[in-house]
Amino acid sequence: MSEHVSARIALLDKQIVDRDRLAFGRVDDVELSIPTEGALPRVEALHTGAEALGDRLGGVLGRWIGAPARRLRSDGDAPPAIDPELVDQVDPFVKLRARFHELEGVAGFEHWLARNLVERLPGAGHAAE
Amino acid sequence: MRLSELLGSEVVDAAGRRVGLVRDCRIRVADGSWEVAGLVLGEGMLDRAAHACGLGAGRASGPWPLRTIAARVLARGLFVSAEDVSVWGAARVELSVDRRALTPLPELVPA
Amino acid sequence: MNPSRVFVFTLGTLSAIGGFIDIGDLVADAQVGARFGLRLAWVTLFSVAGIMCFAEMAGRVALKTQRPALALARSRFGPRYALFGLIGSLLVTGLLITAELSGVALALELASSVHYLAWIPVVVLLVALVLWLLPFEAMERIYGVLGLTMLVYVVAVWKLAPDWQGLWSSATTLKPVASESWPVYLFFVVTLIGAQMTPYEMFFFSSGAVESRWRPKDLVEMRINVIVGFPLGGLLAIAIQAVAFLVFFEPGVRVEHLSETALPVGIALGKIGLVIAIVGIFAATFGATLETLLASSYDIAQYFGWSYGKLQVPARAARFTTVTLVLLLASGAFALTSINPITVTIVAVACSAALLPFLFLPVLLVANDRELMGELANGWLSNAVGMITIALSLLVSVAAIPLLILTRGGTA
Repeated sequence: MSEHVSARIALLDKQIVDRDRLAFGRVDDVELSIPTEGALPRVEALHTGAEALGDRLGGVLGRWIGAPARRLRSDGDAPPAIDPELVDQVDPFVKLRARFHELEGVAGFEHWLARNLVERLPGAGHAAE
Repeated sequence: MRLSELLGSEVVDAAGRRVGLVRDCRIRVADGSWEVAGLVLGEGMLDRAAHACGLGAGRASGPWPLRTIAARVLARGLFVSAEDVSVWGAARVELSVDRRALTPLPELVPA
Repeated sequence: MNPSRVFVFTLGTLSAIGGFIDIGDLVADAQVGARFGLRLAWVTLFSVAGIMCFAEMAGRVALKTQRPALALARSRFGPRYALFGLIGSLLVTGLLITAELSGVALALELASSVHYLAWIPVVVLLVALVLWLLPFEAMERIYGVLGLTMLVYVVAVWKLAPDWQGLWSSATTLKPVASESWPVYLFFVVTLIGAQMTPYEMFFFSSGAVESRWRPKDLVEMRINVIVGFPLGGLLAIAIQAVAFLVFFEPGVRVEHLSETALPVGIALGKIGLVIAIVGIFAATFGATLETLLASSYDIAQYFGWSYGKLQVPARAARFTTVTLVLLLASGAFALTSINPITVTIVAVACSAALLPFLFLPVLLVANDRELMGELANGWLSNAVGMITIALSLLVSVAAIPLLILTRGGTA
C-alpha cells in the first residue's frame, strides 16, 4: 500500500510551491495519458489555474471561474500545465525544482499584475527576486 | 483525459456488469514517471461523501462516530489493479476481469 | 521583565477585539443593554467558550501545519464544498468590511462633528497605508494595545456605583423583560452570537499564527493568547451592555446610533471618559476593518493557492495585493452610497450566524486528522466542546434568517 498513493489526497487540490517555497497555485486537475495496448496510464501533467479549476467544477459556476483565464490565454498556447519531472516532493505540498519565474505559462495573472500594477507602487519590491 | 473526468466514471467488469464508480485513483510516484497503479471503486452517496472528506485512504481522522461510519461505508469498496483494465475512458471504464477477482478495499487500506 | 513580553498577548487580543467589539457588537451590546439589561449576558459567555474552543483549534492547526485552518478546507473537502464556504464567508465578511469602515468614520465624526461620509475616503487611505507600511506584528501590537482603551467601559460601570445585586439578578434572569416579546429576545440572542462568534476571528487568528511563524513549540503562547484575548473581549462586551443598562434602561431610551454607545461613558466619567471611549471605538473598528479585510483576501488567496500575506514583498504576492486593494476600494465605494451601516451590520451578522456550523465543521475535522496533526490532534475536551458548539450553532443557524425577517431586525 505504501508504494502507491491516493491521487485525491496526495495530489488533487494540493498547494504548489516553487524551489524557493513561494506559493503560486494548487493542483487543480491532473492530466492522465490514455494508454496504448498493454501500457498503464501515466500522469502527463499537473494542471493549475482558474481555467482548469473551472473545467473541473463544471456547470455555470465552473464556466464563470474559468472564463477570464481562458479569454486571456491566446489560442495557440496550451493551458498551464506542470511537467511531473519538475516535481521534487509531494508531501506536505507539491514542491518544484524550478523557480516560479522559470515556468512557462503558469499563473499568468500573477506575472501580469506584478509587472503592470503592483511593482509600480512604491515599496512593493520586485517579483523576480 | 483529466483525472476529474475519470473520477465518477462508471466501471463495468468483463461480463458487462456494473461494478461501481471510480472514487479514487492510486498512483505510483517514482522519479520522473508517475504511473496509475489502480482504481478505487465505490457506490452510493455516503461512500461518495466519505471519499470527498478524504477518509478513503485509511487515515483515521475525525471524532469516533465519524470514523466508524466512514469505515463501515468504505468496507464495501473495491480496488482494481491498473493491469486489469481493458478500456480507459472519461465516462466509462471496462475491466478485463470479473467482479469477483477484485480486492475488497479494507485489505488495501486498513480503516 | 522583558518589555516585549507584554506583546505576547496581542494577536489574541486583536482577534478578540475585532470579533467582540467591532461595530456590530458595539451597537448590539448597547441595544441589548438598553432593552434587556444583562439578561443576555449568558449569550456572551457561550460565545466566548465557543470561539475560544475553535480559535485554539485553528491556531493549533496553523502552528503544526504552517497553514491556516481554512486553507486546508479545500485540500481535505475538495473545491466544491470549499467554494461554497468561501462564497458564504466572503458575503458576510465583505459586508462587514463596509460596516467596520463606516464605524471608523462614525468614530471620527463623534470626535470632530464632520459628517462620517466625508471621513470614508480618509479611512480608506489610512487603512491602505497601514496595511502597506506596517509589518503584521506592528499592526497587531498597535491595535491590540489601543483596543485596550475600551477597558474604560469597565471603569465606567464601576463609577456608576451600580446596585450589584440588581445587575446580578438581571444577568441570571433568563427571559425577556415585560416590554419585549420572546421572538425579539431570541432575535437578539442570535444577533449576539452572530456578532460575537464570527468565523473571521478564527481565520484571522489562524492566519496570524502563520504570519507570526508560530511552531509547535509556541503552543503555550498560542493558548495564552486565546485565554487572555477572548474572555477579555467578552468582558468588554458585557461592560458595554452594563453601562447601557445603567443609563438607558430606566428612561427607556432606544439605542440606534453609535454615539449612544459612547454616551454612557461620558455620563459616568465626564469628558475625559468620552474621549477615551471614542479612541477605543476608533481603535476597535479600525482593528476590525483590518481583520475583516485581511480575512477576506486571505480566504480567496488560500482557496486558489496564491502567495499571500506579509511574509514576502507585495510584488511576490501580486494577486493577493490586488484583491486586497480592490476589496478595500469596493467597500469604501459601497459605504459612500450612504447605506445605513447599522442595517448592513444587522444583515451581515444574521447571515454569519446562519453560516457558522458550516465553517466550524471543517476546522473540527481537520484538527482531528491524526496524520496531519500528529500528537497535536484534538483531545476529548476540544472535541466535546467543539461538537456541542456546532450542535448549538446549528440551532442558531436555522433560526437566524427567519427571526431576522419575523422581527424586522429587532424593531418589532
